[in-house]
Amino acid sequence: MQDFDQACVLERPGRDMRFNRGQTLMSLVALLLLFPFLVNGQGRFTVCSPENKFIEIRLTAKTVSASENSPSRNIWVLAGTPGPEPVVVPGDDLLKGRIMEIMQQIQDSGLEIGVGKGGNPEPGDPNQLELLLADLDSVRPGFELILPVELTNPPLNSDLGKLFTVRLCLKYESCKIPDSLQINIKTLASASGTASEISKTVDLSVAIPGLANTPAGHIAVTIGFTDIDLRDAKRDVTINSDAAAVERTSSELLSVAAKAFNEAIDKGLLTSLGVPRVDPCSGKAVAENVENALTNIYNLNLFDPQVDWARVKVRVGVVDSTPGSPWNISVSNLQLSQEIDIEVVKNPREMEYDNTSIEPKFAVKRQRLREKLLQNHSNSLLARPGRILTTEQIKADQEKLSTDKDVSSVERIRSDGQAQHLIYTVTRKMQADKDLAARLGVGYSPEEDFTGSLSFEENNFLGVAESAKLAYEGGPQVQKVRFNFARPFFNEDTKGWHAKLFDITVQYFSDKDTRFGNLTPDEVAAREAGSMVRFSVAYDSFSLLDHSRENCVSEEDRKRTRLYLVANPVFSYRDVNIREDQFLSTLVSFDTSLLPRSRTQVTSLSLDVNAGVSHDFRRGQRAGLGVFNLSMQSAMARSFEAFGADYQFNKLRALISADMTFGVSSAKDFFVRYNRVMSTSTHGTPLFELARLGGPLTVRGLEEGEIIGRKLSADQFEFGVNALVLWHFVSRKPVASMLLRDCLDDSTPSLPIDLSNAYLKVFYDLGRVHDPDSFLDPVSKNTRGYGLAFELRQLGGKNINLSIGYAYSPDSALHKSGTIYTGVSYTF
Amino acid sequence: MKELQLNAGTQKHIFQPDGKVAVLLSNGSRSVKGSWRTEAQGTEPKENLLRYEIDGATQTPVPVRYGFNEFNQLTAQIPAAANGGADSEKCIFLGQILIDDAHDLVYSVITPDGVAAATRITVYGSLRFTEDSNNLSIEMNDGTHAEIKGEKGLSGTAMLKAEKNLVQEFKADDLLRFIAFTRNDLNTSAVRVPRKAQIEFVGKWDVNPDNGQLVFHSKITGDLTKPDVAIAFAGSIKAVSAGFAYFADKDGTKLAFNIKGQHRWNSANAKWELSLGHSQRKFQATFEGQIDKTTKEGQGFVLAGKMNLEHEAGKSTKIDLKVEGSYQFNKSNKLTFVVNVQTSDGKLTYDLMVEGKFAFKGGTLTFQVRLNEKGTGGMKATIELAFKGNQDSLIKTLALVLDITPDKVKVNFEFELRMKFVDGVLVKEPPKKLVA
Repeated sequence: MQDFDQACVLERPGRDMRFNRGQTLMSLVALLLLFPFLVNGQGRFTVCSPENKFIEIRLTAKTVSASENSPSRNIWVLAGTPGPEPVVVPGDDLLKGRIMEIMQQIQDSGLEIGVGKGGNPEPGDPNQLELLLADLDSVRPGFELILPVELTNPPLNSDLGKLFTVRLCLKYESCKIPDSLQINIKTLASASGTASEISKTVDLSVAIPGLANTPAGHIAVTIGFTDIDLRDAKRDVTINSDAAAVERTSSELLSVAAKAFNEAIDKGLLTSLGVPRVDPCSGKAVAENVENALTNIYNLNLFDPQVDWARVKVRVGVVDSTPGSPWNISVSNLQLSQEIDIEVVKNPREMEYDNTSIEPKFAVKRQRLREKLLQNHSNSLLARPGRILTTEQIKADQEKLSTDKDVSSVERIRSDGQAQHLIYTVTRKMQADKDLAARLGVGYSPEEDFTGSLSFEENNFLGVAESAKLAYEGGPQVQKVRFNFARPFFNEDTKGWHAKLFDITVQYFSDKDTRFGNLTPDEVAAREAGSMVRFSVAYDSFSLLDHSRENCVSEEDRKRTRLYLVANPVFSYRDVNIREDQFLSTLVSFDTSLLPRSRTQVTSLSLDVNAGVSHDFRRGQRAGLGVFNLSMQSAMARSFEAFGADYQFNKLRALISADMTFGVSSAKDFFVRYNRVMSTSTHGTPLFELARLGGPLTVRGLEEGEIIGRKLSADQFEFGVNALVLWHFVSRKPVASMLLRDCLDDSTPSLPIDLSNAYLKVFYDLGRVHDPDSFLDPVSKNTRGYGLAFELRQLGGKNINLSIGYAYSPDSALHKSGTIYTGVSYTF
Repeated sequence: MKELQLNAGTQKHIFQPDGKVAVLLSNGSRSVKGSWRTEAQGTEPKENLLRYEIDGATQTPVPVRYGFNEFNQLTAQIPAAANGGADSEKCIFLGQILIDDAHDLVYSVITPDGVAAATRITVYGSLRFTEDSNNLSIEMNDGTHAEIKGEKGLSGTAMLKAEKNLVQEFKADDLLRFIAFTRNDLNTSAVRVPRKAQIEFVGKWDVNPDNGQLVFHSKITGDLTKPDVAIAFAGSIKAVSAGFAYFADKDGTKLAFNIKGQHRWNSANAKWELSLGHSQRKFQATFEGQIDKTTKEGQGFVLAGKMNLEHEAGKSTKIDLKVEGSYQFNKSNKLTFVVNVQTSDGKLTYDLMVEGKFAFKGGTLTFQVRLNEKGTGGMKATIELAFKGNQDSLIKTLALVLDITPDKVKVNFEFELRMKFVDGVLVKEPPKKLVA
């Protein structure tokens, strides 16, 4: 035994060092200060007995001040709590552990602990150590702490200020380790006494033949079952006689006994030879571990509450309270399974078709898969009818089912009420959607006369999410053929460079008749044959996460500045078929030399670029500046005389847009926007490729195409007021909370549209013609438009803005009283 | 030491600690003439009576009033009505408190030398643990009560232990122990000598459906639904991670002891199932409360609120619940909420088996736990799953949730996915985009 005082000042690593560093340091200081007075207790305290089991403690004496009911008195108090070394209980780790637990609790409580007054505590006395340790008789019968008699008397005044080292001796009886084990295994019917029990006791070696001729082989195993269990055993089709049923049931129960024996060894209740190694006083935790292990194996209801049977009860304890009473492992309420089944449940995709005509078809497919799975696996599943099932078997079966190529996922198990059925549930794998469609139709219109149509369409047959469509529509008046193939690229994330789309379009159009209308791109497009190949690539500085947090204004660390770019290199070949007479109704007069031939071709290579930067100024849920967007959309085209094309020209169109929200009650009370559109093209640009003024993208109130030219520009100015702000002015009701909604706010707007993103705006547009050969009145080079509109921003959570409003242009020849217009803008 | 004396006309009958009855004549002469006992035998009613005989003749039983003094020593007094009009002087017995095989409270008398005497005094009455102090009170038929003061532990309340019973002759798995001492003044010591009371009950924990108080049903053999002893606890009970915690006070601040148990959601009947004690007394319950993260980044959770335990005949008991654990995706990619606590008997691990729905919004993956049948918890039932700001973790987590491989993940900015049970089968609804 190391000298205790020395032991206290030496620092030892590890958790078992119960004197913490602070206490050790304080002890060292106390040791130095009190060195002249320090005594080790020898001489002051008598030596206790037994000498080989003790706790060595440090004590000091203190004075308790007088109170109303008691005079001033001296008491003994603990000076620190002992670590593991001063606790000497040879070969009894359990007792030592319990003592250290209590010491730790004392240390954690920070309370002062007295010693010696357990017999006669007075008001004001601290908790007494011997009383805190007294409950140890629950683990060691007859446990008694023997105090030196001097400790039961109050300290003398001369003891004050001194530290003493004292041994408290421990007296207790050993708890007898049982010398045997017995095992009882019963079914539910047997344990509940609902039917007459068939019971027998055999040696464990019957269950584990390897134990024959060993002492463990003679461990008594009692099994109990009833006719009910025999009927269950016969659910196995191979069991066709009473004798076989008895044999099967006995065998199953004995296998439980074998498992119980093995778990008892594994958890330390028994030695590897099957001899008990712990006594009941020490073995509660071990017994509980065995109980838990066996419960986890056999209690299927605990494994999953959807299994309403096999609520197996395991008890591990001693038979009675006499010393040496044998350990008994009891497993009861066992039940043999009656049926094993597999159910294929709906997967998420299938659930989309609930209550549709598809649902029964999916049900048939699920049923077919169920039959297939049963056919393929029922003989190889470990869980079988007529047997006691274990969770290990179920897990193995689930693992096996999950490897089946037709199984998507293995879900939970269940039973059919209290019937002893076990139902595995799985979902089936579905092939990726592949659509193939053919459509045949007939149509009539005064313009196109009777037409017949035929189209073929496929989706994802190549497995790359592609779509292809070939459509024909024809009749005596028109012939239309269009083929389109598109292959989108899906990406895990939006951040960085990535491909977006590959797209090919080939089309042919022919119309014998005259069409009326202004020359708009759509009109032109409807008269052309051609092909187009497009490949779209994009860059984004925002990741998926950044996008999802865009409107989480309370998260100050969100990314605020975004850069993005989408580029579309396009190769196109157009065969335009616009006869002169088709322009008769157009509003502008043409130099006939500029008119194309009735049939003409254009081959061009173009690059469409959309780029932009945005910055989010919003700070928490405060008013002020909101989100600033600056974007540029440009289309640069170069046409050349290839593939029989007739023109060689260059064309550029650019749209620059700046947009900002701000406010006094939130950051989105108002917005201002400025757009500038510029178009230019070189000489030789055919009429149908020239720029046009009019429409929502240039001058509102003017019909698109009313002014056509080589060099045009337009400016648009807009100011919008949030609908909720307007509502506030009308109703005086507070709206700030609605305007300041954060991304995680789940309150559902009561209206179908989100009013916090709806604005009433006024606008003023100004268009200019910069070249002398434009098709307009040569006197006026400028044109104006203005009006009022309702704009819904961020439709569907995307950067899509929809405007509907009234616009008037004094320069419009078509709309003298103004016109209703709709416009959509989109930023990527 | 005063002896218990009965005024019997001109005589005094003295009930000696050694179980003998002495007769004191008016002339002062004293002679031992019989014996006394308190234990009811055969069909005798379990009442607090002194049954005695003198010279072989059975005397009329004399009622006795018991108490425990400040040293937990048994005191006895014959009430005035049976004692010629005046209460007898209180007699203090040296001894030790025990619970006998019949689960009756017994006082084993010892001699002034500290040697066990043959005399045992049985005190009949209803047992209960008092509020705040946690002392063991025995309420007697005559309306009086005696209180055994428990030894105060470090928490300041009397020490009680709820443990596992290992002795299988008792058909119950719970063991209740009460720590108390009797301090006797013996001839052998200058100071009082503490003697530990042997107060242990084997039985089963339950909750009284009438008052919602914790109760311990104890029976030696046979059907536990008809207990011999029902010990009431006047404090309060809460559901905690390790099972249940009993507090000596009504406000739930003075922790007395923990009882093993566990709690789980049973989707089959859309109720919570609480298991109390080693004997696993089961309660069905409904819950109102919330789930939160314990730390900002970790996977810890705390489920807290009120659990309404359902009893028969429409009665119910509302108790606080606070369970802490951690969530994790298991091998089958199912989100599990697991409680893992260290108890004095080892580790206790169980799965709350909750179901709910995932939602991805604002860069945050949340799981809305179905806390009650209608799943009306809203934000209170929603826990944010930890992966925020971590791209790899996001993809992995979403892949687990969506049952797809990480390299095929394509997610919208916002979606939700429901995990629910249809006819007892777990199904996952397809992701749906959230309203912007």
